[in-house]
Amino acid sequence: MRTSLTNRTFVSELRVLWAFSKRELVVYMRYPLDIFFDLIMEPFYILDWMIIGMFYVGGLTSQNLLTIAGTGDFISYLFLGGVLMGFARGAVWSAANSLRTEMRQGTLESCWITPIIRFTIMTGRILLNFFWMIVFDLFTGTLVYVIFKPVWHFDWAALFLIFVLTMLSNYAFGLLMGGIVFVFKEVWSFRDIFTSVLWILSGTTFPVEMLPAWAQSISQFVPYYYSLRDFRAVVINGVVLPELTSDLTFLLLFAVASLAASYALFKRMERVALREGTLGLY
Amino acid sequence: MRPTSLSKRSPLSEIRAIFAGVSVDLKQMRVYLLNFIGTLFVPLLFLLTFYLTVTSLTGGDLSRFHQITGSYDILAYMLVGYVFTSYVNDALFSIGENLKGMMTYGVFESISMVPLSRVAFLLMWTLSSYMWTTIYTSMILVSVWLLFGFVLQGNLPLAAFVIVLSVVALYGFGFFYAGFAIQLKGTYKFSYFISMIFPILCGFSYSILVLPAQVQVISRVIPLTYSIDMLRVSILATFPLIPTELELLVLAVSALVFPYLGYRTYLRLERRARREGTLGRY
Repeated sequence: MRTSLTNRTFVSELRVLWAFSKRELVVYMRYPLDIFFDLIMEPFYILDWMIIGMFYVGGLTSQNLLTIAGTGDFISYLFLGGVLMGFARGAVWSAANSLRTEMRQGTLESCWITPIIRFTIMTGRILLNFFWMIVFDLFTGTLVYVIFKPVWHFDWAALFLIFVLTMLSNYAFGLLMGGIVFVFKEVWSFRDIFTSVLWILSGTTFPVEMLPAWAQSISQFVPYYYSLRDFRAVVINGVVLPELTSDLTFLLLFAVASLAASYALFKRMERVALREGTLGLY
Repeated sequence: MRPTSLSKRSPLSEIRAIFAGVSVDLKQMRVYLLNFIGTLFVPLLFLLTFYLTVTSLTGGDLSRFHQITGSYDILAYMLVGYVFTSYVNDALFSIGENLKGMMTYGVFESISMVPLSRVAFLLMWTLSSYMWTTIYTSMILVSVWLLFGFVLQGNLPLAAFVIVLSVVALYGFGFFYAGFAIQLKGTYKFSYFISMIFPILCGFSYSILVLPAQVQVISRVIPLTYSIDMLRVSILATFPLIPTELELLVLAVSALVFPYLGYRTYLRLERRARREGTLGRY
């Protein structure tokens, strides 16, 4: 039987979560230029894709995109893809990066023996990133709206549901990457491959119809494919919540299943690192 | 009185030290196996995304592209941009991130006391990165040849000369970053920001002629604009922005001036950090 001197409750875990977020915030604020760069980097990242579009198309509307995806407004198409997949990238990167930093600083092992649920520790690492991503994307969205004046529709209930369900999937991918970091340590290229494959299969910057049939079949099992499809349908085409029921149901099922599977894998990889005594190594 | 040293320094000893540093870097790359293998696939996935996005927007109609560049070969156009971006990123990230890593590991202070010239130090931190980029650039070219039957043509010696001049000029930026990293500690975001703004302003993925006239003024004072343009001229015979002799002259002057200025800046900033006693902090 495992005993503990501490009295763990839901409230104590919440306190830990708060402490983690506060700590991450303090570290982030320590490098004030980072906040400035993050704020302007997000618009630049999306702007680069938009200029590429304008260079090759020669205007703000693509006839080919209109034929394939039902909208020729590639500015909105690329922006919305970039926003949603920015969250996916953020979850995967923040989980991997924060664990790596702690390994390098030599504090991971001591952090890991504290009587806190692993779920809480990992959430503390991803949560603040979500918050900042929202701030940065709102800023970018405002810029895109002011500069290009696209026609956007806002069914807030639908957008909220898409966002929440996508975040749950992000969280699952973040957990999975955390487990991989435990075993393989330096994984930035794997992380990039992982996010690039998700990027391609979800149709972030192009419709998945551009992919061969076998790749399109795989796309059906990637949650972001549905998130992006619905996100664009709501904002660009004005689709409302009741029309999205089947996609949202799939997203919910995927979120639950992937969270359970990711947590199990995470625990397993953590056990491997603990057994081999490599938790504190980098 | 001149400082004395117990060690006997010679050009040969400096070269041995550089090779030792490179060998440490390569060993570290090999240790993180997943990362090592994954690095080979990241560029291919990026190029694939790029290609599919452009094709989905244009639908194969490259008249606009041809009108601006004088070429129909978008794959080569992208490839040249990507290869060049890799070298630029090396200059931006390798020195700054190496320094930051050593500060985090807590070894920078002791390393900076070894009797080795600063030039050797700075070369050591970038050389392995450039070597690796050259290796995987060759692998990308082989992969593209296998997948698409694409062979790099044009004036290849001139292209190689342009890359060499650009890399030497970029070393200047790298030296500057090293000093910047010692002063500000966290340079990753700054490097990341620069690695995003340069492709936009210098037109790594498109011609700068697509940018607004005011932005083009800024683009035209950055030598990297001429590096990428000259590369395209030599490989794809695209229309140059200015006469090619002038472009080469700009690159040659940059290759002479930037490393000198960057090195002086680095020495100045390192001296300041020593005086303030912040060399070992991160």
